[in-house]
Amino acid sequence: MMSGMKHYKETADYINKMYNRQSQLDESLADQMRESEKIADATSQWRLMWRKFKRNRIAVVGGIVVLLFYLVALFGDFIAPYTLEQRMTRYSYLPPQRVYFFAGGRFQPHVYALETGRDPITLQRTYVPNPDKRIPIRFFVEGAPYKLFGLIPARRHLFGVEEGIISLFGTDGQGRDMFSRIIKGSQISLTIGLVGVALSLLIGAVLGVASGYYGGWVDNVVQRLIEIVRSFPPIPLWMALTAALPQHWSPLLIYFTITVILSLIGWTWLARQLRGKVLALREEDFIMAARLAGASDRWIIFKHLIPATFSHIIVISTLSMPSMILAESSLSFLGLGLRPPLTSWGVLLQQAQNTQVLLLYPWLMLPGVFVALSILAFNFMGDGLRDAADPYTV
Amino acid sequence: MRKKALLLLLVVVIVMSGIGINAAPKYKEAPELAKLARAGQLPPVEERLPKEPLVVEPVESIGKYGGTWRRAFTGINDFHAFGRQVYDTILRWPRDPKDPIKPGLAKEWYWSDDGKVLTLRLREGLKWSDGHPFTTADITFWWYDIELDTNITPAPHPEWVIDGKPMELEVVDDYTIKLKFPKPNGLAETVGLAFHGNQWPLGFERFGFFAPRHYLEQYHPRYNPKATYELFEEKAIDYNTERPVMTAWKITEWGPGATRLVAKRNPYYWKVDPAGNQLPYIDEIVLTLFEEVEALNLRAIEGGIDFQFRRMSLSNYPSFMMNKDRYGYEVLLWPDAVPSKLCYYFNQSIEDKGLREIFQNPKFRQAMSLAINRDEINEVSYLGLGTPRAFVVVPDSPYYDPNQEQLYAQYNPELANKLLDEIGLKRGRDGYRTRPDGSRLEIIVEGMEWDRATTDEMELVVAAWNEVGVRTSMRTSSRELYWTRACGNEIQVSTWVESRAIDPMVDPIWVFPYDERSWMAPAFGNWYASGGKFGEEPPKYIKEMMDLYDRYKTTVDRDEQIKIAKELLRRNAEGCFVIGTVGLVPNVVVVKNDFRNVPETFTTDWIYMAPGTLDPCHFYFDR
Repeated sequence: MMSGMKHYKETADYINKMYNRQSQLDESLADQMRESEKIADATSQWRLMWRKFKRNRIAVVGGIVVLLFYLVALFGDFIAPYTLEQRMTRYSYLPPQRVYFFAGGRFQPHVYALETGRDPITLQRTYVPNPDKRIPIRFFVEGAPYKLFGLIPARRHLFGVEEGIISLFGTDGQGRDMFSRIIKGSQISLTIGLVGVALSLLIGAVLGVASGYYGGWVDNVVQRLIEIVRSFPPIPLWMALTAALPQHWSPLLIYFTITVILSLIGWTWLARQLRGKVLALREEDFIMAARLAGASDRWIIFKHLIPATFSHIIVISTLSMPSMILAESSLSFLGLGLRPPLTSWGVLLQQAQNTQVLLLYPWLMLPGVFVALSILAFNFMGDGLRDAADPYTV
Repeated sequence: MRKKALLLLLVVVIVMSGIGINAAPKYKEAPELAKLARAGQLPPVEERLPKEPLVVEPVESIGKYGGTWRRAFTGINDFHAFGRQVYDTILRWPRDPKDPIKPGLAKEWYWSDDGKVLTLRLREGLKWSDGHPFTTADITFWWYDIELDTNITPAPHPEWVIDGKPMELEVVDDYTIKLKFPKPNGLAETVGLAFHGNQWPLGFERFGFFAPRHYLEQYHPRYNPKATYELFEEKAIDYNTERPVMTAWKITEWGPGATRLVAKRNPYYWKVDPAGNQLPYIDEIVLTLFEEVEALNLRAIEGGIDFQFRRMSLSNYPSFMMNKDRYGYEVLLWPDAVPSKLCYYFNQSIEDKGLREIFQNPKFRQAMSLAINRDEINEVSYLGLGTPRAFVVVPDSPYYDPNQEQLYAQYNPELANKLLDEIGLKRGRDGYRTRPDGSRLEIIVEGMEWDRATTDEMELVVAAWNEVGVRTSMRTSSRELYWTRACGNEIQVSTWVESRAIDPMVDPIWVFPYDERSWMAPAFGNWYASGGKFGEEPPKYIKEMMDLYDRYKTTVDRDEQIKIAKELLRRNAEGCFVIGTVGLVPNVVVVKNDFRNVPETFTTDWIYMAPGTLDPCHFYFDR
């Protein structure tokens, strides 16, 4: 009996001990795993890329500008002091107004009231600021109604004036505020890039990866298709396609069709790049291993190949954004893309293409500056991303 | 005794003037032509000119020979750019539209007592630019082989068809011809001979009353079995550099791919100045091709054009004024006989039956007119220089009625909304009106790309119509496409730069549906023009207007004509058949400082072939 009890205690002790040891071991193992995960995390490709990207000053500035542009576009209706429909015909062809920030030593942003008239000889509109009559700029001022994000009805604008006009970038012939129009234009110009790139990404990624992975006749067909598409000069092709658009379509539909048309040509570059990448990857050991383990093609493509080319896809899409924006602008500039009442930078530029603007109203060409700015920003950012995408090379 | 003395004096004068003619050469010519004549390559100027040349009264002074007149145009369809500089017709519009018709190629003309026969006497000794005599045979060639040949002309011009019967010609001799009609023809002198009486039966708006028989016969299938109608058209067209002309300059350089059109002096031109100098003074006209009106304007701003108002845009006036001293030109503002710079036609014969019903309702058109803020348009597009008004004739017109000037032309959106509510176009929740049956109402205003000012105006009008709840959008296309579609009854609301505001009865396309160019109802117009063969039969209110014009056509009594015209124009104005905005907008005229015989002011109307009645052949360079 005694010996029986003792034996039992011994066994229990032993089990306890073993258990403690095991849990200690487990804990240390878990610790180890956590540790290694931490290390792996710290040096993951994304982190490395981010680290490298951050070091590239110009790329960061580009990125910030891009972000800023999109933010302004997102809140455009709120930031713009006027809506697209507001015509202040009393102030047609008003040059950009000067804003004064201090009045009597106090911070009090204001513009001067304008005396309007016509030059007796040239009959040109004249606007003489009257320094004695200050019009204060108010913030969160009530203005024309609009719908924020196209949904929420609102009346408050970021800034505005209660009388007269505030026009930072001047007005056009119908007295429409260029500042507001440029902001509204950015909504279309910038999203057309985004949507267009997304679409071409979809086509390009699927066809490019398939072409590289399967090889053989699939590769042949896709590559010949790319060659055919690429052998067309893009502008005439776009012209033909946009000219075929039925005129009674709603502006929104036209907008989407044009995006589709733009991406129909934009995908080829992406597909080529991805094919090359996949061609190299599919010979790698891990793909071979997956295949030997009996993984299906779908599994390999979606679990291994696409994630492996992800950094490339991002870089390529960033770099093709400017060409999309440019394509929209040039098509609209030629009068083939978007048309009023849709307002994009290209549409604004199209309206500025006459001698009067060149000689008398140069501020109407400001949208061009914004096209250039956005393209530069995207290019800088894209370059930075490209350098960062391959973090292991120096 | 006194009688005898007078007679003697008369004899002396006659003898002396006879001696004068024999002693000194009567006519002088351009130095380059004199050289050719001396070399025997051209007959002397006395033989080239007709017996009684037309004497052009100079606007300013007798001129000097030489120089190249630089102009610009926008292409093959812009034939007005050249055609109106060479206005040489059987009879001529006067410089002042209030004056009677003047002689042209015909030196005199008279009506029979019953108003049914018009006798024309051509100038004796007129010659085509290749030296071949110009005779009544050239008129019969046009009438029988071009105008009445259905392979070339589907239907003869309406002024030559009275009561469905084409006129009959009776050739008396080489210089005398009789035009016979079943009823008095009220349009023959003005429309037929002064407006259409030119040398272009196939080109320039098909303005013709004669054609060079000796040249064209060889290409006409009736005279040459090997010829085809295509070939004939090609040879007869304005731009054929081989075809002989009766105009002051003859096109010598133009063809496919050409970027400029050159027209050189016609050595057989039949006009002289009071000093006996054969016209034209200027050696050649060069028209440079510009695809873009803006580029054309830029060329003018930089002094690259000697004299022109066509295509000069008023919006560029400030630029012209700033640059005129630097580049040595003057900028004139000539009144333009336009009821409205841009006018809007609601197509009352549009295929869409629902729209047609709405557009045919005068209240709808009146509402659309009332919705427009014309003062705003005047300030934005026309530098405040125009006159906000309804689309009615200008004060210079014999049919002018001051009561119509502002009819439905005041900005009154409340009344517009009221009228639209009345005719059953109810506003939906989105603020836009629906058709009476509740379906979506949307109209498309179409136009051509003229210049920024007109686009601005169109956008303002479109915004104004949206404002009163009529969903409107706008679309522009090229001239050729637009013109074809508009005449083809395909456009809902068309716009045009319409003149014909002094005497619209000459070509009453905006008064009532007259032919397919009457975009208020091209299908009805087509019905009228084809005598019911084509198009669509119009409703009663339009047929009544057609009957009125038939009456106008068949009277030579001017008072009766004026009465009918006034009635027609009253119906047009009260029904807002055409919606005008801002009229009497001046033309910008660019004249180089050394370019002479251009008046300070001149009312332009394309019906009067401006500047054709100023006799461009006597413009000259004072260098």
